[in-house]
Amino acid sequence: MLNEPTRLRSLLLSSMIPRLALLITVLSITLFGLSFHFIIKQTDNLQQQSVDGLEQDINYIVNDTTRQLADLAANDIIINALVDLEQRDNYLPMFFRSLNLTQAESVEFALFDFAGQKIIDKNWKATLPETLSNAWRQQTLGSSDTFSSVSKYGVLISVPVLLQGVAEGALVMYVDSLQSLLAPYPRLTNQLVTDKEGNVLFSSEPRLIAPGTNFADFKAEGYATKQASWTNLNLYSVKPTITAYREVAWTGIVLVTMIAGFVFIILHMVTMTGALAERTLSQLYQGIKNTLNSEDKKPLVEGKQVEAKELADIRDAFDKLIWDLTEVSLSNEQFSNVLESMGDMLVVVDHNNDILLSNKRFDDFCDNQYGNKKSIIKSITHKLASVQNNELRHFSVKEGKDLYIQWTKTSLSDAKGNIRGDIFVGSDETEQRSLESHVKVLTHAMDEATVSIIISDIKRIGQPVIYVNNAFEALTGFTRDEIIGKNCRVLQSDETDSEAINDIRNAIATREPIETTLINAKKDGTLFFNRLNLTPVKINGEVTHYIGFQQDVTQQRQTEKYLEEAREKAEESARLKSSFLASMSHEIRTPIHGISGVLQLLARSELSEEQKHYLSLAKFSIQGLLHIVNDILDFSKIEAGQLQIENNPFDILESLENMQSQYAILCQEKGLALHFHFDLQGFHVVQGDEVRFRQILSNLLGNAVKFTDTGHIEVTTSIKQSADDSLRLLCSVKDTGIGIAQDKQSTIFDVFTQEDLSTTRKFGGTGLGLSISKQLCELMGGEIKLDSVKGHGSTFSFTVKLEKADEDLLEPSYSPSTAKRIKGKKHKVLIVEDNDINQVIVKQHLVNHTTLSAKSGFEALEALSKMKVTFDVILMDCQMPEMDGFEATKRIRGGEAGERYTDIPIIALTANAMKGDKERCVSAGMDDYLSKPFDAEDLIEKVEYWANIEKITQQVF
Amino acid sequence: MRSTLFISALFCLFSLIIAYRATGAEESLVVGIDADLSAVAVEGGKAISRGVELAVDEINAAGGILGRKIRIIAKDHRGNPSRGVFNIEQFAKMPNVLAVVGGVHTPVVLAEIDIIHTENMLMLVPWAAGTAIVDNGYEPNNVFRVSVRDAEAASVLIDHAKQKGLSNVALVLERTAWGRSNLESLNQAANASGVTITSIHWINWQQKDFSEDIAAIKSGDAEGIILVTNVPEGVVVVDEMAKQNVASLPVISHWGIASGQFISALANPTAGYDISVLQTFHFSHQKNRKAKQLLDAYYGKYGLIDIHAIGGVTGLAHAYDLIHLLAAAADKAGSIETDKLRQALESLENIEGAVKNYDVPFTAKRHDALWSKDYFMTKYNEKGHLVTVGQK
Repeated sequence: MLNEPTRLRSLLLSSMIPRLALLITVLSITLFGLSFHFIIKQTDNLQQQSVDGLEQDINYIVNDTTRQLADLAANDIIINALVDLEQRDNYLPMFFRSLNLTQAESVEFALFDFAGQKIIDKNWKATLPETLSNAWRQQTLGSSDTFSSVSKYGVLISVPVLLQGVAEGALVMYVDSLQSLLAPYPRLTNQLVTDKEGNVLFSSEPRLIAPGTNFADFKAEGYATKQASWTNLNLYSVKPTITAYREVAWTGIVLVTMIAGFVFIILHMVTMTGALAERTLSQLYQGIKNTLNSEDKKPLVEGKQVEAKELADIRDAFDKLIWDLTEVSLSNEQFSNVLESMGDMLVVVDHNNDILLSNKRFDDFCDNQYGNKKSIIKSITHKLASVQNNELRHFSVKEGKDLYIQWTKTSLSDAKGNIRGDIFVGSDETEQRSLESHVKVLTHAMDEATVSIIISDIKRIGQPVIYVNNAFEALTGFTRDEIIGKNCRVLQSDETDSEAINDIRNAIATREPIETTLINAKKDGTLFFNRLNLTPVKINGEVTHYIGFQQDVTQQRQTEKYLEEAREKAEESARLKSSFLASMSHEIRTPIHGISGVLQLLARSELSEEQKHYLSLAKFSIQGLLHIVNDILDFSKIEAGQLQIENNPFDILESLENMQSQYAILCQEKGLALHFHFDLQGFHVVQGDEVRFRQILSNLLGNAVKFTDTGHIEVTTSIKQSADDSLRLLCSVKDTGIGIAQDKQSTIFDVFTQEDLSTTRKFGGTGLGLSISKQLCELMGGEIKLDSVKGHGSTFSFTVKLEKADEDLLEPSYSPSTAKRIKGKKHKVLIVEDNDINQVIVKQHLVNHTTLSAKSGFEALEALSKMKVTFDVILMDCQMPEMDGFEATKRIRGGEAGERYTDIPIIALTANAMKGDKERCVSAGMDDYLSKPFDAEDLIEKVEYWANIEKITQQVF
Repeated sequence: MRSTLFISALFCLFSLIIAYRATGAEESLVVGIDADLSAVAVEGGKAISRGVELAVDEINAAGGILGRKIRIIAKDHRGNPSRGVFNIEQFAKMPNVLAVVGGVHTPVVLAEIDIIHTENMLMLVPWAAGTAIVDNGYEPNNVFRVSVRDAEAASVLIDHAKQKGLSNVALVLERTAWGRSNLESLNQAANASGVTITSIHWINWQQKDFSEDIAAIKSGDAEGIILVTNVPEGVVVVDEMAKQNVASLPVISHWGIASGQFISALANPTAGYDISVLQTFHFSHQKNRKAKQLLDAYYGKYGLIDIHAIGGVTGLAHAYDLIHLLAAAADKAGSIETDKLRQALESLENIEGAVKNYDVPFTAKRHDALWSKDYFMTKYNEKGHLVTVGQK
């Protein structure tokens, strides 16, 4: 490089200018050629367009005029004129004068008859050659067709005047020359129309070519012409050629100017590009030079100059290269540090197994082995050569156990590829080995477990199963190969409860454990109840797997289902039975009431002693019957869960004394002694259900009397206070009767059970009493027990829970003593009762009062509102047709029977002793309640009591 | 096309005539027919031709006239008077022409009157009714007519209107000599009978729109229309009546509409019209021997047809009777010279015809053979055929 190299700019210019010049030359020639071609072509097109336009014009004029003329010829005035020879002169001339079809001034019209004789005309001066005259006549009159002719004789158009499709005349239009028809308006080029002989019929530029001259005489030099034919005419477009060349010249000038500008711009651009490249490259060169000299990391180019991307890339690459070079020169020490920080052992040896390099970990390993490093290396190389895999077992001197080391041997080669020695890298696998064996044990345990286990990887797409054990295979029939990698959904079937599936999904979504039972399908399609226990497995705080334990609980499920169904059936039948019994006892009560009432009425009549005895027997029977019915009713109430235990204060001492006096008579009759012992601890008034307490006690007492023929009966009652302030009543009834055998004692409280059938035959009874008593005790928070020896009497003892009560809380009862009874006072009583017998009985019972009866709530309301007398008391049967007692009472209270009765005492009469009757009566607005069958005494007492109460209140107000 | 055929047909005829002249010693006599055979009254033209043919057949069968056979040469004037004049010129140039039988159109015959007389030819009119055709002012008069005479027809039409209880009528007339001839006579007849003509409406030949006139008639007092047109214009008038919902307005028509298929040309042939048409002959009206003979001959030559369906039956009968009258006159005159034939025709007596028995068909002063007493009114039945009034 002796010569100074050429500058980039000059280089660019010198290489580009010759090519550029060539390109421009070729381009200019092509452009000139093309524009010349197109201008010539365009001129030609213009000519063609002009000729086409001319053709259209002529066509239009001829066709349009013909059409207009034909329209005229169809005019009925014209047709009529052909027929009406006499008078057509009156209207035809006027019609003809008004004719005008074209813009030409000298238009001539004439109407000819069928023979070609002119009938009438307008401006008709036409002198036509014979040929033309004959031609239109033949065409129009002979063939009934239109005729048109454009020739040097002018323009003639004739149309037939048709009658039934045949020409009866002709309408003819004539213009002496085409020139006057084709209006002189601006045209694209000079236009000419000549006939075939070249006679000019029309010229758009008469100064250039006059009409009437011959076109052959025209000097066509310097003119371009375009010719077309139209019927017997030639159409020309004539345009001076000089105009076309003028356009070419103008286009040339424009093109030359453009090319010159183009050349100038390109030269300028090349210069600019050269300068830019030069500047950038020198800057880059300067930058690199600076960097190498100063090691200063300042940017190579200062300032934000405009710079090509490629140059910037080059500079960046260069910077990086320098940086890398700097990086490579790290010290040996650092390299050693790296080696030492390795987790694996590293040792580099030459061919003689002399150690070239080793790290600390390897040194430590050698310390833990017998022999020096070299012998260790030797033994390693030796062992590696003899064993298949690269894992060697070394005995650790310090720890006294085997170490498993995985050795990797690589050749050490220098830059030229010569093998210089070996590099050994050893990694300690001991821990891994021990983990592996641990895992093996666990896996075996899982494999052999009797419970089916399944593990899914929920981090992978599709949450595939990654493990199942043998029990799973046995349970589902799927082998490992079939299930692993798939989602455990394959176990689902159409029967699978979608709710359970959703629960499982939700649990997995929230990473919660779940236990559920669902229907799954085995591989062979068999369905089974699967108790599934899913547990999430957390690794590093994130749930990655789910372990499922599965159990086939189909058998268990089915058993549960059978039990449930059996229980439901049993309950249902018990309910049916109770309901039947309840309704039966209700139905029985009504006739019993009837009998009882009649007996009571009978007792009041004059009877002989014998009759009285019979009556008492009947009464006794009724009582027994009633007892049985009540027992059945109670029992069915208990069975139906409808028995309500009252919780009211009562005087227990009074109650017991009443019982004693009641049963004393019975015992006396049977010759038995009856003793009552009390230990009430001062709690005379307690809170509880007196009626039920008395029922239990009288039941036991009744039994005792029934089954004891000689001896005595002892009743012991005591009350104890419990720690929680409640009271516990213990009551026992001891008799000296027949006793109960030991083996029967366990069932004596069961329903319909007596000791045996012989007992039933001998003593009668339903066998419900004890069962009811037991249930009542339990309902009252107590129990009942039996202590008996066959032949030596029995002791029944029961406990019930009571509460303390104040004496003041006792409800005042309206005993005859407390009621303000005015004897002999007659009251007016309305009896509302649908049963005739019962109505008669009540009426007879209340024979001392004025009574009126109604058969339904409806009648009662009517009676109340229509009768003038005011009733004092209403006895209201609850169950009646049309309107029952509850409804009637509500209406009376609502004022439907008049204001005077809104507060009248109403006493319910009901045979329905089921739960809620009383409440229903009260809520309907009744004041008292009398259960059928009732005693005459009770009835009279209640009526008189309530009648007086009413009186009193009336007096008060 | 049609006209070229026609021209070639003429050529054939000419050549035939020339052939006869050359060979036949006793040249046949010619009866010319100059009628519309292709345009607006084809049915009338056809009926006239058939009437002539049937009469000529009978005469030829009986030995001809003066021992010479009769030939028929028919020329078509298409209703165009100029053509008619042209045709007469042609006939004038022919030898042995006894007479020319005219067509339906009054204007055509009227246009021919002058040349008929200048050429001294006999013109027999079986249809055209214009009064001026016979009352043409020529003395001697070469025109003889067995047909309706407008002056007489007017009184029959007006009488019929009166009979129908109409006292106000509108006139619809074609704008030709025939129309004008009727206007005159209708005015006179109406004046005489006390019928008021409320309005006069003219219709051009081939006119297509008559709405304004019908609207005017509708809004006027007219209780009926007296129609004097041929079929095409009559159709325009009656169609327009149907269009403007006055179809039931009584139309009392001159017989022009009987010269073609009128009812079938209507847009709605069954719109409940009340159209009565003047007629002079009907096979169910004339039941004389000649009429029966004519019908038998008709059946024999043109096939069986419902008598009501025979189109332009009046033209048939008139032409038939005219030829027989001509033959009788020729026999009587013993010559075929026009003057002698005319005189013979004027002095014929008691000739039996299909239309009637002609006691004295013509006299020197009276060249019309039929008069108002020979006219009667007919109606169209459901099939579009004319039936005498009172006949279904």
